[in-house]
Amino acid sequence: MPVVISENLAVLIVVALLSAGYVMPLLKKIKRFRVAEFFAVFVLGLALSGGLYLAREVLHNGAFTYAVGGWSAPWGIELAVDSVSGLFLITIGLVAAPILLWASVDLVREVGSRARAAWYLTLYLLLVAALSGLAVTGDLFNVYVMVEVATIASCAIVAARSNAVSVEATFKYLMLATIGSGFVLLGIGFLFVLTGNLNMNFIFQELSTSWQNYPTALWVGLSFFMVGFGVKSALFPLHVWLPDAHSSAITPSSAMLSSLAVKGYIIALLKVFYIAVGPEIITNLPITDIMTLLGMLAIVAGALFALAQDELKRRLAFSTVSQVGYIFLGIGLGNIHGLTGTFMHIISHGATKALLFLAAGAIIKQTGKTRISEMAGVGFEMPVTLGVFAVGSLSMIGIPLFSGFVSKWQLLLGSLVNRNFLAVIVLVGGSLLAAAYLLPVLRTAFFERSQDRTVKEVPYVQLVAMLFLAVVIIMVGTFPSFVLQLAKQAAGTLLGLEVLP
Amino acid sequence: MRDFVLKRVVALVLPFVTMLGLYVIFHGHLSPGGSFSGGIITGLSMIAFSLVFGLDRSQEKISERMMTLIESFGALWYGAMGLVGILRGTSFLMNKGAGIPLGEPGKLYSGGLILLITLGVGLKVASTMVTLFVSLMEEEEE
Repeated sequence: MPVVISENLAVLIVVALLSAGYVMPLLKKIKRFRVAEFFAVFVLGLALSGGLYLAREVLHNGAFTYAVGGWSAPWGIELAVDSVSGLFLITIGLVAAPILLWASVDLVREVGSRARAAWYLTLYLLLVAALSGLAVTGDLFNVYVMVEVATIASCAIVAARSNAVSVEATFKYLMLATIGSGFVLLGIGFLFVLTGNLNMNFIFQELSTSWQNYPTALWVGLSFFMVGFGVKSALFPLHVWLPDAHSSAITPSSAMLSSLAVKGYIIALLKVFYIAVGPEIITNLPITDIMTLLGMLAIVAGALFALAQDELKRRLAFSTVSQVGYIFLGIGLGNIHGLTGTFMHIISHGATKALLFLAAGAIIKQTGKTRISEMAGVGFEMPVTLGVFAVGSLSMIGIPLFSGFVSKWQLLLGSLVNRNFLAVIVLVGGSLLAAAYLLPVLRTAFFERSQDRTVKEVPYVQLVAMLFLAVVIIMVGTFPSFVLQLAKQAAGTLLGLEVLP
Repeated sequence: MRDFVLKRVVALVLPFVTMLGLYVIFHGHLSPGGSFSGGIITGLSMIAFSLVFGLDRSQEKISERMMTLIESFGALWYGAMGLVGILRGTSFLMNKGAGIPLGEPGKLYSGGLILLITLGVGLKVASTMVTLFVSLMEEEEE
C-alpha cells in the first residue's frame, strides 16, 4: 500500500464512505441500477480491507493518533486509532458489505422507486461512515456529530418503506433517539466545563488530578452519558423503540440497525467512560454496578419478551435487547475478561444477528409468511437459508465452534473472576432462553410437513451474502486467535493495562 | 398566488437577498456568518421565489435534477478540498502546511482553502434547503 494512503487511512475510510454516499444520488438515472449497488458494496469492501490493515497495524505496532488539518491535540480534532477502532472497523466491514449485497437484489422494489433506492444507499453509506467515524475519533464533539449523523441516517432507513407502521415506528425512534442525543450533548457539556477540553486524552489527564474536587458534577455528567447512550443502544428499560423500529423496517435496515448501529453507541460509551474518564474513576463510582444490574435484567427480560413473540422479525428484535444486555454486563464486570467478552460479543453478535435477520427476510420474502407458527416445512424448500439460520441460532445460543461461544466464555470467565455468581447463572440461563426462542423456528421449519411445495430458494447473490456471514461466524468460532488477540488488546487499552501480543 | 404587489416586491427584493446570501458565504472567514447561514439565506431566496411564483416556474429555473447535482457536488467538493492536503503529502484538510498561499489578511482571498470549502458547504446547504422544501410541497399535493 502506498505511504500516502496507509498514513491517512483512518480519515480516508470515513471520507471514502461519505463521498461514495453522495455519489449515489447521481447514479439514479444510469441504465443498470445494479452497477450503483455493486459500487456501494465495493466501497464497503475497501473499507473492510482498510479496517483489517489498520487492525493489523495496531496489533503489531500499537495505537497511534492522527491530527486532522495538521492541528495537534487540544486545538484540532484528533483521531485516535487503537485496537478498539480496529476491532469495530473490522466488524463494520464484515457485516455492512454482505447486508448491502443481500439488499442489492430487490432494493428498488422494496423501497418503491429508483430515486428512493439511490437515497437509501446514500443513507446506508452515511450510517456506515458515521459508525466508522465513531470508531476512530478521539474527540468528544466529533463523537456527538457522528452520533447525530448515525441517528438521523438510521431513523431514515427505518422509514424507507413508506407504510403507516414503519412511519410510526420511525417517529417513536426519532423522538427517543433525539432525547438521547440531548443527554449525550449535556454530558459532553459537563465534561467540557469540568476540564476545559474536548480531546479525550486531555480530559483524562485533567480529571485524574482534579476529579475529587467535584465528584457530584462528574457523576451527573456520566449519568447523562449513561442515559443518552443507553436509549440509543437499547439498554433494557430504555429499549421501547427498538422492537417496533427493527421489526417494521425493510430487512437490510433491520439487519444493519440491530447488528451495527446499536454497537456504535456502545463503542462511543466505552470511549467516553474508559478513555476520557478513565478506569479508576469509573470503577470508583457505582456506575459499573448499575451496568451489571441492567445488563442482567436485559438478558433475562429481553429473552422472555422474545419468547412471547410469534412474528419472526419481532422475536429477533427482542433478542437484540437481550444480547445488548450481554455487552453491558461485560462492561459492568470491568475486568479484562469481561471487556474482552464485550468486544467479542460486539463482533460475534454483529455477524450473527445480521445473518439471522437476512435469513428471516429471505423466508418472509419467498413465502410471504411472517409468523413462526406458519413456517411449517420451510426447511425442505429453502435448505440453505434455514441452514444458515441454524448456524446463526447455534452461535447465538453459544455452542462451541461458533463465534457466540468465544464471547460468552470470556464473559463467564469475567464473572467468575469477580466472584459474581448471579451473573454466571444469568449468563447460562440466557443461553438456555436463547435456545428456547430460536430452536422452535428450526423445529417448525424442519420437522413439520408443509402443504404447498411452490416455494423456491432465494437468488444466488443473497445466498452468497448469507453464506459469507455464516463463514465469518464459524471462522471466528474455530480460529479466534486474531480477533481474540485484538479484543484482548482493546480491553487492555481501556483498562490501561499492557497486553502482550 | 395572484397578488400583483407581492410579485413585484419579491421580484425587486430577491436579487438582493441572493446577493446577501452569497456575500455571507464568501465572507465567512472575515465576518460573522459563513457557509451555513449564507447557504440558508441563498436557499430561502429560492424558496420565496417558488412560494410566490409557484413550484412549476421555479422548477423551470432550476430542475430537481440540477438540485441533486449541486447537493452532491457540494459534499464531494468538501471531500476533494480535504484531499488536497493528503495529495501534497501532509494530512487531511491541511491548509497552510500543505503549501497553499494564505493571501493578505483582511482581504477577500485570505484564508487559503477556507474560501473554497465554504463555497462547497454553502451550495450544499442552499440546495438542501430547497430540496427539503420541494419534498414537503410535493407531499402536500399528493
